[in-house]
Amino acid sequence: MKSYLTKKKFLFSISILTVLLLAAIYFGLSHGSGSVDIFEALLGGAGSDILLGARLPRVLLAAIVGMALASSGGAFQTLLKNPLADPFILGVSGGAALGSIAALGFRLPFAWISGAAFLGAMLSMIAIMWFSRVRSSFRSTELMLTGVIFNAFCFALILFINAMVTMEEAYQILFLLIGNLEEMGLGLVAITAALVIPGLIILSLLARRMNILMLGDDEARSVGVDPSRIRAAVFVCSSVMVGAAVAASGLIGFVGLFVPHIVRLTLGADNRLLIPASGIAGAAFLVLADTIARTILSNSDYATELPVGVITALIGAPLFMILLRKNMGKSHA
Amino acid sequence: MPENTTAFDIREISFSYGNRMAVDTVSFAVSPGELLGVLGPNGAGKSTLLSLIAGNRKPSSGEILLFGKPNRKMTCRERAKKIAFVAQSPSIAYSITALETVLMGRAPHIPATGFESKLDIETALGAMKMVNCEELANRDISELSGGERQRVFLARAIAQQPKALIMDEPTTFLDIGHLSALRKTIAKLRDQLGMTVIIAAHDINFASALCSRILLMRDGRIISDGPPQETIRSDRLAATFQTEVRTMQDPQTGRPLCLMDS
Amino acid sequence: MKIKEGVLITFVIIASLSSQNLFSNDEMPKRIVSLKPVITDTLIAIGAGDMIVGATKYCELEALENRPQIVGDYTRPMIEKIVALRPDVVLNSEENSSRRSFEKMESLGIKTSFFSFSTPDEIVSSISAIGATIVMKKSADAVALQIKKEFIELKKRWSSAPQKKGFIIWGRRPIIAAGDISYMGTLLSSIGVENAAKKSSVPYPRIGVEDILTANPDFIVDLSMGSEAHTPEEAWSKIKNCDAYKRGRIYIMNADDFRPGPRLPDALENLARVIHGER
Repeated sequence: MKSYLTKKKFLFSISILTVLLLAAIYFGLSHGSGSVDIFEALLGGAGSDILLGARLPRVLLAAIVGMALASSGGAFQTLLKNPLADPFILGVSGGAALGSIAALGFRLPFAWISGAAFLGAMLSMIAIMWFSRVRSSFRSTELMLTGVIFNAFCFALILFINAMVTMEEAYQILFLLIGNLEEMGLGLVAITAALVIPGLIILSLLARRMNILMLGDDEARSVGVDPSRIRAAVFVCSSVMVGAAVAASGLIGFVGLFVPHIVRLTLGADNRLLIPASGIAGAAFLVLADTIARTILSNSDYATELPVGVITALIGAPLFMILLRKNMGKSHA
Repeated sequence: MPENTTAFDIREISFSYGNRMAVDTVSFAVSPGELLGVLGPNGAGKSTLLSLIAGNRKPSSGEILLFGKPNRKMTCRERAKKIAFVAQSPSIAYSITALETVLMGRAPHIPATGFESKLDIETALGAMKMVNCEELANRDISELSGGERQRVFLARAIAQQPKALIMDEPTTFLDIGHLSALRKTIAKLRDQLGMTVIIAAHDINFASALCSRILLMRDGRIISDGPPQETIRSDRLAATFQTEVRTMQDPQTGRPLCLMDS
Repeated sequence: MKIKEGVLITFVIIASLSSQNLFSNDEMPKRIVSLKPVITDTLIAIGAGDMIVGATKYCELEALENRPQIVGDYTRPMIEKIVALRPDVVLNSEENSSRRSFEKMESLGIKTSFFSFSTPDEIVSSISAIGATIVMKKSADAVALQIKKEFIELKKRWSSAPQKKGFIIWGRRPIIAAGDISYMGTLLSSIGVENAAKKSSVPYPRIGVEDILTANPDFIVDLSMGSEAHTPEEAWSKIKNCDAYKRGRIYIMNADDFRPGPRLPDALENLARVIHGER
């Protein structure tokens, strides 16, 4: 295997991952608590309601949210040189969660909740950028600290609101926080896609320069890459993607942390491949996880659905441990 | 177009970290093909001076001209085509191979997105050959020793095909064998490629053997500027380092050597 | 019918005999704290309303002359406030209670008592048991018997209505339905309704839009609204191709009416009328 990323390897890897994603989407569309013949339904026959009204928006949303979370998780891990980074680390997700929960607390119409969440995300992004630029021109440690503190502040406010609302609202707050893919119709899914897919493309275009940032700020400058500009661009791009994802589906954990690592362990750390590959792999992973979450118990005695975050953790964690051990064995040979 | 005879024109630059003046009204000029060494005690401002010249920091006053054009008027990318900078302890984040590291040096010559061409690969390998590290190409950079890593980073700078090379304390991790190889490589760069080189160094004898001109710095100021014969002298060195030293001449090369006080 | 009544009366007697005899006949409690709205409803129904000194913020207290103090919500009783009221007994239900707070109260010398309301039989027996605990057995048993009668009448009245299939939705985000083992689920058959939710060993299963579409119910009862005011069309736009949506058979009703207590029979009668049309 060549020791650097070639166009061939890139195209090959992306193609395989795309096929996997399509397979996952097929799996998601063909499984559910009812039984639907996909081809019959697509032609408008029996079950087309279920397929198009219930499953399709959910499967597509899972793909888009998974794409947003995994690719920005990977971007942050590179940018902050921190393997523990996830898409929520920089604080934008706290603002998004706060936006949706404040909207709930103020009893705004439900359709506004996602909008409020995205607004919260964008306001947070601006606040954090202003703070980081003013203080430190986007240095990683400062960015991380600002993000952590901002998240803590937002969550304190969320808990405050939680204490003041009715029981039903408190339960809904929990629902928003653990993450769910149930809520959206195709229209809103399309809006989310319009925010996420261009974001992924831009991040992938920035990937080469992100590679160079790995050398260190001074060295990056010396090969012609301005670190604070690139970090700002990556931050804005990821914030839009993460803001859209959280506005659509709450805080679904583990996808943004595990998937980029798994991709890095199998395909390497070159961001030109890592970012788009994480996006596609994250999409496939979340589609699979959500399909399992909504079907694994629904035909059993329990006849209930599981939260998707449970499955992402239960699948992601062991998978990651296996790959990590394999990789550790390799390098210590 | 008149040929520009100055590579670096440093005009009265200053820089402070908070209240502390790290570089104090420094002026000098460097001609193309010169091998300039910057020596001084810890905290003299050598690294800061090199940072300023490389464009990594902006001076609070004064101006720097690179090959006739002011530093502040150049974009990062433009400057990168002219100067390559090798830092003191370059950091590595994730596992990438040595070759991938060297390929990063090609960045100023490749469009912002896209993949490296065959020419880029060849240039990178050629650079690695020059520094004798091509056998490390497929090795993971985080597994290399300090000395091997330093050679890889030097190869990266060479692959950048700059007109000038700025190196901050490249001698730190090198054993005598590698020190000698480094000296020969830098001399080769000047002789074969006409490269201008500015080096900040701890190792006085290394600088003396390699450089055609030495700057002695103390407290942010240049207190001596000239060829090794004039600057590597016990009085000058004592003023710079505030310690007694002895000097003698290397019988073979004629270059001054610095010896510790007995 | 007669056998069933007999069994139930026996059950009630046994339940009230076996409930904690916290007080003897001459030390009737005068200060009661209720930590569940259902219990407050029960206390008022059996005539003990003026003995309530502390209640939750969700309890219905309008009818009471002496307004009790608010001492908490469903899960977090404010212990200091309760202690300050010097209650003779604190009554709570077993669902959703924080055990720790009760251990704390017991350790401070406050008598606490738990009751269960998860099935129709339990509802009836708990009413009696509450009566027994606060030394008002007679009136409580009367109320309990009345409720039981009303459940039976309900079934009689609606047994010939054509079976309709539907969901009782307790929550919308996520969608939580009344399972067939919950008290609502059990009582649906009394009002001529088949529960459209799949058989589940979980009393309140979480279901998806797909489950609703697959079942294609005749109606949906949405008890989740609470403080929101939405029309059925807004709230359930995702199932607009469903028969129930198209025929306007999504009924938004108040969850408070369907508390597992004295009010339940009336609420069920009202629900049956809405579903089947007047009889």
